[in-house]
Amino acid sequence: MHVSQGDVDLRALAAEIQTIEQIDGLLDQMLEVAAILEEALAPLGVHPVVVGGLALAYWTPPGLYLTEDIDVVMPAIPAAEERLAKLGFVRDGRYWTLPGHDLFLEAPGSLLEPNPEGFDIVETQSGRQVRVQAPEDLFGLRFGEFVALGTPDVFQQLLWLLGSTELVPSELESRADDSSYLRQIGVSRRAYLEGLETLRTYAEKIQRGDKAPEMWEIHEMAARLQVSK
Amino acid sequence: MTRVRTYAAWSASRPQNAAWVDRVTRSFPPYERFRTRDSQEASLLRERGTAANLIGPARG
Repeated sequence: MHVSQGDVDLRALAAEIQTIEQIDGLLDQMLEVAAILEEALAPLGVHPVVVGGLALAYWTPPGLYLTEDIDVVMPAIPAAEERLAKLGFVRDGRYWTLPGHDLFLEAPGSLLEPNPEGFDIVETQSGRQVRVQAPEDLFGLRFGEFVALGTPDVFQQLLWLLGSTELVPSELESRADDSSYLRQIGVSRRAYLEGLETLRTYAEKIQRGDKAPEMWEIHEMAARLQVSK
Repeated sequence: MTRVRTYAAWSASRPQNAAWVDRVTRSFPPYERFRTRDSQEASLLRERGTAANLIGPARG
C-alpha cells in the first residue's frame, strides 16, 4: 500500500530513517532525522525547531558531548503523532524511540522560548532544511540557566557559543533591550550585560592561552549575577 | 528576518569553530554534566551506553 499523505511519501522517509547510520557522524545523522521530521510534518503546518544539545552541537561543531536525544519544539497534535508512528517512531512515555537505533526524540513543548521567532533555517547534508534555535537565543537560555545554577558545564557552553563564527555578537546586545526576553531568561538587563562582558573577558583570556577560571570563580560569577538579577 | 544557513557554509566554518571549542574544552577540567535530566531520559541514555559524565544527575 502506498502511504503517501499530502505531498509526502512517509514510507520513503521511514526507509531513509532506517538507514540513517550510513551518514557519517552522529551530528549529521541527528540533523537529518530532524529534517526528515520537518518534511513529514510540514504538510500539517507543523515545523519542529531543534533545541537543546543538538542545537548547541550544530552551532559549535563537532558537537562534543552530544548524546542521542533529539529535542524539538512542536505542537503535540494527534495528526503529527500519527506521522511520527508512520516514520517508525514508537512512543515510550514522553519520548519517541526508534527500535533498532540509538536515536530518540523528545518534544518537550510547543512554544519556542525565549523567543518564538528565534530560529534559523539550516540545510543538512542531503539538502533538506530544518529549523534550529538561533545561537543568540540558545545563548540567552543557557545564560539564564548559568545564572540560576552556576555550573561549569553551562559556563563552558556559553564560551563555545561566544566564539562561534555562527553567532552575531551585536544580536546579543540587541536582546538586552528586550525586557520581555530578559524576563523569559530570568535575568535583569544589568546582569545580562555584566555577564556578557565577563564571559567575553574569559573568552579573550582563553584565546590567549590562559586556563579556564576555577570552579569557585565560576560559582562566584553566577552568585554575583544573581544579586544583579 | 530568518537566516538560512547552507550546508556548504556550515561545513566551511566547521574547522574554525571546532578549533575554538577544542581550545575552550582543553582549558577546563574533564567535562561533567551538572544539569539534571528527566529520569526516563537518563535511563534511555544509559541503555545506549552513554558515559555517566554526559548523562548527569537524574531527577524525578
